[in-house]
Amino acid sequence: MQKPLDLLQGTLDMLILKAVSLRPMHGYGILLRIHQVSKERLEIQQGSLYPALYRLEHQGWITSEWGASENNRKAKYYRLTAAGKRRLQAETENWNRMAEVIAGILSTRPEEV
Amino acid sequence: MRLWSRLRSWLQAMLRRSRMESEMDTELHFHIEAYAEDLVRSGVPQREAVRRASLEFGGAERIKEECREARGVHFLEALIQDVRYGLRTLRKSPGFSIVAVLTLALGIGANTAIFSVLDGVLLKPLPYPQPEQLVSVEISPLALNPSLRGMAPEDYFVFREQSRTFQDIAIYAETDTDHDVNVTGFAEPERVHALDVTDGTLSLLGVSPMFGRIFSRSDDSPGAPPTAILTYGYWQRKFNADPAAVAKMIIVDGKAREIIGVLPRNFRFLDMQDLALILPLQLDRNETYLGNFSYFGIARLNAGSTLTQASADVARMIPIALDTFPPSPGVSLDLLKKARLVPNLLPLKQDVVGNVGTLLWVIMGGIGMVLLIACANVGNLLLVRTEGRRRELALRAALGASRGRIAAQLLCESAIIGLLGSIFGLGLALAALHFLVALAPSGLPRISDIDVNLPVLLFTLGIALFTSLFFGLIPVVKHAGVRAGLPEGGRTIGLSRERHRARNLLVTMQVALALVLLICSGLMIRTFRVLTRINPGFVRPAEIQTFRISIQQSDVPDDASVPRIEQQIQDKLAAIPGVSSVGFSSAVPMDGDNRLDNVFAADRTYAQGALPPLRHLLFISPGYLQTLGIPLIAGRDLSWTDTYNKVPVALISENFAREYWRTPAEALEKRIRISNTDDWREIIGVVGNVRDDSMDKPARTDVYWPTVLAKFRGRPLRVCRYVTLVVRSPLAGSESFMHQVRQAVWSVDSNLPLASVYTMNYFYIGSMGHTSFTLAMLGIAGAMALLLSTLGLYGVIAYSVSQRTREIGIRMALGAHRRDVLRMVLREGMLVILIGLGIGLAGSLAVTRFLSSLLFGVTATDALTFAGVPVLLGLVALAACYVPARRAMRVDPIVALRYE
Repeated sequence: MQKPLDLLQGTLDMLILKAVSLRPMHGYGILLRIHQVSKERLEIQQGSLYPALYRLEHQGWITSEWGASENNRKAKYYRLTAAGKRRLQAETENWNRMAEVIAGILSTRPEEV
Repeated sequence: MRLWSRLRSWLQAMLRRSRMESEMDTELHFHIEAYAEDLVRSGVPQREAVRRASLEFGGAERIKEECREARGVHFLEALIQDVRYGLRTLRKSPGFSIVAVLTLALGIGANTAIFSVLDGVLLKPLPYPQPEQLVSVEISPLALNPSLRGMAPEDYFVFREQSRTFQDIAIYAETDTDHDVNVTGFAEPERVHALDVTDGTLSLLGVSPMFGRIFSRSDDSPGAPPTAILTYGYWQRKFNADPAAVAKMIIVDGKAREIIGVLPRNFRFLDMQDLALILPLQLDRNETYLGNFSYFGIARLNAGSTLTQASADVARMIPIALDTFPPSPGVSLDLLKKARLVPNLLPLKQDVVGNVGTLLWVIMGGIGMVLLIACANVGNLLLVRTEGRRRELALRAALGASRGRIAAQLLCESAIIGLLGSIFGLGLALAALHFLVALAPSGLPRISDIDVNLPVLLFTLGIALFTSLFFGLIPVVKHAGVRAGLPEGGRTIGLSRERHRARNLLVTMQVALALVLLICSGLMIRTFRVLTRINPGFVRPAEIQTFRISIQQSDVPDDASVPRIEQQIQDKLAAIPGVSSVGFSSAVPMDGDNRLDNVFAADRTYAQGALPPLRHLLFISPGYLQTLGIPLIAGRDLSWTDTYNKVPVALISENFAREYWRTPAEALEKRIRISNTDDWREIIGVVGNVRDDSMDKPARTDVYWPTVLAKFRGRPLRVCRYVTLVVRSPLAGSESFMHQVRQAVWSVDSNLPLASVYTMNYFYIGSMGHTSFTLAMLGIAGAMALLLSTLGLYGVIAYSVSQRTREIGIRMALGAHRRDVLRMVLREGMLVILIGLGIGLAGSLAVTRFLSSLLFGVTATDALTFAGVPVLLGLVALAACYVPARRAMRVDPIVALRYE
């Protein structure tokens, strides 16, 4: 199996925003979702999720409310705000452009230079 | 209302904080538990699942801290947390806390006390509206004596009418003892301070009366009904604060005056103490003759006018005044022009404060150094303490505390010490102020303006913050960057030299500062010794009782009776048991008397219009010289026969005799006078010089006249109605003696109040007041500096020894002698001391010249002081090192090594 990738600086925020954009989720759920969607190719230190969540909430891109979990326990659910939606969109476009540029550079063959 | 809303927001912050904390706990727990459940579901045993879940989650505390930060933890919350933690740690080590707080309290208290004096005397504006517009207006005779200042009525009239820069100008007669008045008509006769003013004096100061009114121009006009204004204090004392005092009559020097007003409680006229009455001068424009410079002037400048412009304005008007009025009899206009009258204007505050500025700044500087030394001590204590807390700090760093957070924490502890020290210091300052005000030289101006007010409190707060930062930053710089790794525990690590450096630096600074202060005190001690060794010209001043009497024209209208009454009083006093000698005079040495005049000698010729030098004039009774112990050097003393027969004679001081006639003997039978219309007076005696101005000023040249004179300064008969009696007795100064003195005076005239009751020592000590006050203050500062820096040095060496016990043990186990150990420890101390002394010497050389105006008879670089004080300080410091060094010498190698 491939060795899990370390997360690029600043990408965790984007992943969280994407994860909660579909439906409200609690922290553990977000973690599971990222794992699942990435097919366990990304390594996220579990605890480090929470400072990121608090920061995003402080910045107003997500909000939280308390609700019941699948097995009926008290859990905190995060949801994307309108500002968060715009942010996610911008970040996604940004990322795609960046990935395209980087990929272009990396795929350049010597004779093309 | 604002207080309440603040309190509420604070409470909410606190409540939110605890809710946020518990929510964070719940959330993180949920995560760990959910993960553990998933693990269990995938087949991991329950206990292993929980373990793995929390392990993979990471350090909960650190994550929480990061979450708090991500949330932008409220500054207030962090602060509250720090304060609580700081208080807790301080409570846990009471010894350290008490020593640190007390050291600071001493330093801050002393600084606050001295600053309140400085603020009250120098910084605070005068208590009148727009005080910056107020100036003192005087005229000085540049050609005669530029230090003389005064205003004459002709200047007042001309300035009032023709000035372009004054809103208003007024003159007043200084209330020296001659302007005291007798108040009669009450149960006891009383002599009180009165001020004679022109009508503008009170109004230009902006005072409004508490009752009644202040003088109008018509009250001040010649021939207007006599009036008086009471000060608040006198109104309280004499009229029991009865508002009906206004419109009552008061008999002042035998003249009934209507009371037209009472001044408010907070009003003070410049710096005059115990002022009771204010009377209108009622100058008569038609009776004004030139040259009566016995008044002082104050003025309020036009908005926008400067002191320079006002000086130019006055310079323009002085010749106008000379041309407008006739000269007084016996004074030629030419003489006045030759005197070169020039304006002498000062901001009123500067005039009131005078020359104490240097003295106060020097003391402030000295006390400031003590504070630095105290800070260094507390800094050292903190360093040692933080050293002991390295493990704790490392632990906090390991748990995720950022560098800034640890620094804030350490600073917060320092600030708590600083604030506690300030609070205690403020208490000390309040207590010390009473002591200071009592100790202050009698001439210290504005002493009643000294109190602890807002600027003083701000100053205290300022130095509290400064000191906290000063000593708080030292451990921060050294320890906030502590590595997140835990140092291996258990074994005490020998401290590297580098870690000693900060402490040694602080102690070096302490020694240097202490040396500067001690050298300054040393110079003051030398000055004081020089002053007290100087012969003042009179002997045993503590045995001489002095007091003033004034025989009023209204009581004794006949001038010829005055000397008889005075002689009777002198005789009655001489009959008191224990009294060895009695006399009286117009003034006594150092009482501030400044009656100067030009004295002509018959055997000298003076160029047309030129004036002979000014001499100090005294009018004395037979027995005065003997009572003071002023020696007769040639000729004879005055007799009552000379006095009653108005024989034209005089005595002069030795320096005058030598200046004109080479030897005292040759001065005898020479003739002198002060005005060309007077008779010549023969010199019958030459007496010793007296330092009658001040101990630190050279003796003036004195002329002693009899108290009864014919044809003196153009007057057919002159008697002295105001005189100071001098009585020599071993009991002088005691209340029982004064009781006998009063009875003796009242047996001659029961209506005669006694004023200015002091022993001669009062004037003598008073003339050295600036020196002794500076000496006392710098002495206290020096003693504190010595104590604190000795303690500091001791502490550092002792700590270093305790840290090196193991090293010393090994050295001794390897065969080092006890003497070697002693030498090793002392060498460490010596290095610090010597460097400190070197820096201190350099600093002293730079600093002592600020002291030079306070020194007398020694230079600011006095070799004895500069050599002696460092040696003394070095020895004391070495002794402070010796105690811990001996302890090091006694270290038992076995015990030392077993500790490990």
